[in-house]
Amino acid sequence: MILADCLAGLVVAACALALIHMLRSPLWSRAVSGFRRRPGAMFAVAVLGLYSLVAIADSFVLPARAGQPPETILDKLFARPQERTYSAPLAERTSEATPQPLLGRHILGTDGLGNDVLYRTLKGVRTAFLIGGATTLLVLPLALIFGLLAGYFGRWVDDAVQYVYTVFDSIPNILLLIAIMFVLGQGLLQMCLALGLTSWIGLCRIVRGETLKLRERGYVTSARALGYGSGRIIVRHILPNLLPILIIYATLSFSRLVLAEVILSYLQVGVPEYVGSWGNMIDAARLELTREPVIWWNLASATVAIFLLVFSLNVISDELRDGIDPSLRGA
Amino acid sequence: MRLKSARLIAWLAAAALVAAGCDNNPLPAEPPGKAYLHLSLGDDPTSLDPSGSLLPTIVDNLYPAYFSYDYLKRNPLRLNLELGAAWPKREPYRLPNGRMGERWSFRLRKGLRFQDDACFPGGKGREIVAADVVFGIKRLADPSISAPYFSYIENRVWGLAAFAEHNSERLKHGLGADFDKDVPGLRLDPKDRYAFQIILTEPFPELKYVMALRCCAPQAREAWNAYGPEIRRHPVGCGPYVLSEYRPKQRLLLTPNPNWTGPSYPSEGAPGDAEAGLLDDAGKPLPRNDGILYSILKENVSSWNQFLQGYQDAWSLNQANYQSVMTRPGQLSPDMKRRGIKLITAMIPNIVGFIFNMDDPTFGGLSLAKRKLRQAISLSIDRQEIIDLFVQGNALPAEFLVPPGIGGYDPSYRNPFSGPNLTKAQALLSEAGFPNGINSKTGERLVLHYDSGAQDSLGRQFVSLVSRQIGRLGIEVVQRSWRPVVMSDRQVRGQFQFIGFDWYADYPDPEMFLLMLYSPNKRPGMNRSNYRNPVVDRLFEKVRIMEDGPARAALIHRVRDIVVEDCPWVYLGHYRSVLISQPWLRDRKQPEVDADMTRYWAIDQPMRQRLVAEWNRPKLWPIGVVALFAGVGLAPVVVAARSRGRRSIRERGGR
Amino acid sequence: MLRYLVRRIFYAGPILLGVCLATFALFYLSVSPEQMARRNISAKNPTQAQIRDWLVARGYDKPLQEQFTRHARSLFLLDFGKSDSTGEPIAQRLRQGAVPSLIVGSGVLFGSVGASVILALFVAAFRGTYVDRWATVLCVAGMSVTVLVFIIAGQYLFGKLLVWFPLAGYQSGIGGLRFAVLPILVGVASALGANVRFYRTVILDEMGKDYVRTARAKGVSEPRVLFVHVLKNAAIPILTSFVLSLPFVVTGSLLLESFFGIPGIGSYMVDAIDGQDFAVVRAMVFLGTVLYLVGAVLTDVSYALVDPRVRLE
Repeated sequence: MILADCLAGLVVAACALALIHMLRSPLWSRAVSGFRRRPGAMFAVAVLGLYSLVAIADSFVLPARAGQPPETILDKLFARPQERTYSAPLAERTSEATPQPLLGRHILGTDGLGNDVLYRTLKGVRTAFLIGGATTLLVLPLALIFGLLAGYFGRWVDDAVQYVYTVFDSIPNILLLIAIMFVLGQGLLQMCLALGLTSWIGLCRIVRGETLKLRERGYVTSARALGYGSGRIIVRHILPNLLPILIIYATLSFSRLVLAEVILSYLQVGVPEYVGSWGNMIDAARLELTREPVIWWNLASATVAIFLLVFSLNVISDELRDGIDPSLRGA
Repeated sequence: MRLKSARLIAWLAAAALVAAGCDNNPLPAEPPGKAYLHLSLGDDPTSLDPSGSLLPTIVDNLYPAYFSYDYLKRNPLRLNLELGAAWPKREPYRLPNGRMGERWSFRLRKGLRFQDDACFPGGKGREIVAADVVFGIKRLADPSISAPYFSYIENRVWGLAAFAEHNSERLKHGLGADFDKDVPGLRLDPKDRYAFQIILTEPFPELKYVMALRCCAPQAREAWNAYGPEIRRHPVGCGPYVLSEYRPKQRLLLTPNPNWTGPSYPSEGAPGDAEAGLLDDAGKPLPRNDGILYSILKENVSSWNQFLQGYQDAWSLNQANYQSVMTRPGQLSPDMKRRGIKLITAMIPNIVGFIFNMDDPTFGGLSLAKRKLRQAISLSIDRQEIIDLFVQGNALPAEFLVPPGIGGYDPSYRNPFSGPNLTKAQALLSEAGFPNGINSKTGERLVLHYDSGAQDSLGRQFVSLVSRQIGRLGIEVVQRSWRPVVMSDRQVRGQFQFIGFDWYADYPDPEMFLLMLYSPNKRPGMNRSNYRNPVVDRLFEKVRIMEDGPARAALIHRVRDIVVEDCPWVYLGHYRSVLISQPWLRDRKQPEVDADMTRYWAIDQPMRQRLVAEWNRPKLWPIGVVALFAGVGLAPVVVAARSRGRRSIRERGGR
Repeated sequence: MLRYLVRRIFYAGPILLGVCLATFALFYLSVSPEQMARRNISAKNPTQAQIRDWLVARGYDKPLQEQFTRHARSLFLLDFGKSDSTGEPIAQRLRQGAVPSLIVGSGVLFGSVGASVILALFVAAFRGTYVDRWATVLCVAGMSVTVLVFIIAGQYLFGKLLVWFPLAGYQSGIGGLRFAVLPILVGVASALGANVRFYRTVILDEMGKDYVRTARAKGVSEPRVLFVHVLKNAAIPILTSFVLSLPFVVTGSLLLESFFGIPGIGSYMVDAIDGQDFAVVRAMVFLGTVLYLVGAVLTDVSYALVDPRVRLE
C-alpha cells in the first residue's frame, strides 16, 4: 500500500514535470494555447482536471480515529450507512423482490452489497490513474533505454535489443499478460507491472526508428566529430527531439491501458474487489443485466466514467499532435 | 448521383430481406417427427469415460450401473436394480491374514447388450457378462486415468491397492495397465457368467451406493483395445442412449440405444407425485424423449438468454440468475409465472461453510481461549443474510455437517454458536482475551486472514460480505485472494487461517461428511482444518461400519456435540439446487443425488413450437430509433453536400 | 527477394527458441507441477499417488532441462502432442477450431477495413467542415467505449429485440454463417472508430500532395480524385495495417468467440492457461509466434510488391 502511494506521488510528479516542460518550450506552448480556442479541448482539460481532483482526494489519508480503518478524503465525503443490496438511482427502496426502505439517498443507486455506486465509480478514478500513469512511467524508461541504445549504437546492441523485443512481441499478448499476472499475483501494482512489461515494445520500436534517423542528422554528426561522448549526444541532442513523440504516445497509452483493465477484469485477472475498479463493475454488470428488474446503473456509471476519461485523453493527444505536427494542422 | 442512391436503396432493401429471413434459433434442424431435449453445457465434458469422469451428466445415460436411484421416491433415497438381477448377498469372509472382511455376491440380468460399435465383431453390440463389470472396476486402478472414485474402494477391495501399485510401476516404464492380472477381491463364477463377487477387507455397507456409481458400470474390453484412452471421447456404453454426434465446443447429440432393455417409467412415486402428474406416464418405456441435444456455450449469460427465448428446455439456476427467477424462496417471479415456467428444487446432500486452520497459532488449537475465539466468529456470521443475498434464500441454514435426508440429521437441533448473536459473540471474545477485537495484553487489534480463490464478481462480493460481518466484532479481516490453483494448493498445505469450504456427497451416507473430522484424513486429505480429537476419531471408526439406524444416529449426535463445542467449522447452509423447466417439459423431477436422469423427461412438441414462436416475435422499435438518429445525423451532411457542390473548387477545404 | 526470405527463416530459429524458453520459464514460475496435476485430475480430492502417476504419465517428473529439450524438439517438428487435461490431440483441436475462427476473424478484418476506408474517404471529402469535426469526435467516442459494452449492446439489440440472429452458438457448414454475422458486426463496430480515424489521417496526408492538385487542375471529378488517385496511393499504409492483423485472424478473437459461443481457437489459449494445461499453452504460444513471424515477412513482401521503390535485401 505504501508502495502504491509512492507510485501515486511519482505519477503526479511526472505529470507536473511534463506540464512545466511543455509550457516552457515555444512549440508546445503554442499547441497548448491553441486549446483555448477549441471547446473540445477545453472540455477535455476540464474533465481531466476534475478527475485529478478526485484522484487526489482519494490519495490523501486522513488521520484515523482509534479502532477505525484509515480513510481518504473521498471515503470521508461518502461516509454513509451501507444499504442492504441493490437500489436504483434516487430510489427510496431496495431493488429486491421484497423492497426494503433505504437508509439514505444514492444519486447513482447502490450495488449488490449496498455500496453507493457514485462512490464506487469515483474510487475507480485513482485506480485508473495509477494503471495508466504508473504503467506509462514504467514503459517510458524501458522503451527509451532500449530504443536509444539500439538506434544509436546499432550493430550487436541493435541485434540484441531487436531479438529481445521480437521474442516478447511474438508471444501472444494476452497470454503473456495473464502469465505475468500469475507469476506476480493479484493486485494493482502487479497489474501495472504486467501491463508495462507487455506494452513497451511499440514505443521501443518508434524510439529506435527515430534515433536511427536523428543520428544521421547534421548536428549529431558534427557533435560526434567534435568528440562529444555518446552519453552527452544522446541526452543533449537526441532525447529532446524525441520528447514530442513520447508525450503523445504517453497520453495514448494511458487511455489504452484504462481500457485494457476492463478486459483483464473480464478474464478474472483484475484487481481485488476492495480496490475500486471500473473493470470489476463492468464484469459484474454482465450478470446484473439478466436480473429482473435489470440492474443497469452499475454498467452505465462505469461506462460513462471510462468514456469521459478515455475520450478526454484521446482529444488531448489529438490536439497535441495537431499543434506539434504542422503538416496535419487544420486537417 | 441519382443512380447511386437508387442502387444504395436496392442494397439496403436486399439486406433487409436477408435479415428478415434470419431468425435467432441457434439449434440445428431436427429430423422430422423427432423432438430432442435441448440442454446446455458450459464446456466440453472433460471425459465421457465412466472410470475417469466425476460428473454424471451424459455419462450416466451411456453407462448405467448395477443399481440406480429411484426417480420419484425419496427421503430416504431408494436404490433400484438397474443392470442387476438380484440384491447382492452380503456375508462375512475371513481373509488369509485372519482379518474379518465381507463378501458380496452380485448377479447381472441376462440379455443385456452393449451398444453397436465398430469395435465388436460385425459392429453388433455383444452380450454383457460379469467379466465386463470386473473389467470396469479394474480400470479404476489404471493410474493413467486418475479415477476420481478410486479412493472409495482402493483399500477396501482385497488386492486392488496392490494391483494399482503394480500398474503404477508399469507406468514408470511407459507401459499400460495390466488388466490380465487377477485381483483376488474381484471374483468371477466359473459356472455362471453373469455372477461375480467382491471381497472387502472390512465391512463397508456403503458398497451398494458405490455400485450405483457410473464408475462401476460394465465396460467392454474390446472398446479399450480398439480406442485406448480415446474412449473418453468415443464411449462404448450399454445405457439408454448412444452418443451419435459430438462436435467439440459446439454440441453433443444423444439418441436412444436400440439395444437397451431396462426398467420402464416407475408406477409408484412419493406422496404428491400423482397429483403433480408425474405418474401419468407410469410403465412407459425409457427413454421418454427422442434424444438429447446439448449445446456447448461457455458464456453463462448467453445461454441463460437462450433459455429465456425458449431454445433450452431446462436450466439449473446459479447465483447469477437466482434473482431473475425467484421473488422469494420457492416463488417464481411474475414474469416466469406468466410464461408457465416450472420450478423444481432438490437438495443434493451438501454442506457449505467455513473452516479454521486448527494448526494456526492465533485461531487454531483446542484450548478454551481459542475455542471461544472461534465460537465468537461463528456467532458473528449472519447465515440468513448471506443466504438471502446470494441464493435468494434457497438454502437451509446449517447447524452441523450432516444435511437433511442423511442418517443422523436432526431437524430440531440448534447449534449454540450459530449466528448472528453479536452480544454473545462479544462476550466470548472478551473471555478469549480480545475485548472488542483488541488484544487485552498487547493492545493490538486481532487480525483474521480470510483466504479465497474467488474469481468472479459474485465470489468477490461474497468474500466482502463475510468480511463485513466478522468485522462487526472489531476484528480486522484481511481478504487475500488467490488463483484457484494456488488456493487449492494453500488449502492442502494448510497455508490459511480461515477459508470458505463446501462439499457434496457422492452417495447419501453420513460417513461422506464426518470423514472431514477424522484425523487420519488430515491434510492433504479431506480434513482440511486438521481437526484432531481422539474421541471423535474413535466414534467415527464405529459409525463408518454401521448400518443406518437409531444407534448410528446417537453416535453421530455425540460426535456433533463435541465438534460444535470445538468449533473447527462455521456452518453456513445446505444449498438447494434450483431448477426451472419450460412449460412443455413433462415428468421433470430432480434427483437428490448427483445423477443424470434426463431419460425420464418428456416433451410436448406442439406446445414448444407454439410458445417459442410466440416468445420470439421481433420488436421493431429499435429500427425506428436508429433510423431517426441516422436521419437527424445525416440530414446536415446531405445539405452540406448540396451546398458544397455549388461552391467552386478553389474554396474547397477552406474555412 | 529469395535471399531475404532465406535470411528471415534463418533468424526465426533463435526467436522461436527464445519464445519456448520464455514460455517454459513463465509457466514454471507461475505454477508447480503438483498444482498443475491437482488442477487437472478430476477427483474431488486426488491422492498423492494419483498426483505422482499423473506427472509420470506426462513426463513432468523428469529434470527440467530434459523436459525443455523434449518439448522444444517436438514443437520444432510441429508435433504438438496431446492436451494435458483432456488427452485430446492438440493438432486435431486446432484443425477444428481454425475454420470458425477464420470465418469470424476474416469477416471482422475485411468488414472493418472496407467500412472504415469508405467512411474515411467520405469524411476526408468533407474535411474542414463540421461533418468532419463531428465524425472525428464520433470516432474518438467509439474508441472510448470498451468492447464488452459493444458486445452486450449488440446481443441485446440484434439477438433479443430484433431477433435477427442467434445470441450465441455455431454450426458447421453454410448454416454457420448466420451465427457469424452478429460477432462480425460487433467486431467491426468496435474497431471502426480507431480505423476510420487512422485511415482519415492517411488519406488527408495524400490529399495534400501535388498529384492531387494536378488531377484537380486537370478537371478530374472530386469522387474520382478520391476513389482512384488518392486511394491508390494510400494503399500502402492500409495494406500494411491489413497484413499486420492477418495473424490475429487465425488466432481468433478471444472476447468475441467466448461471448458468442464460436468454437474457435481464440479462447483455447486462455482456457488452457486458466486450466494449467501446459501442453496446450506451449503449442499455442509456438504457433502464435510462427504466425507473427510469417506476418512480419508478409508485411515486408507486400511493401515491396506495392511500392517499387522498396527492395528487400
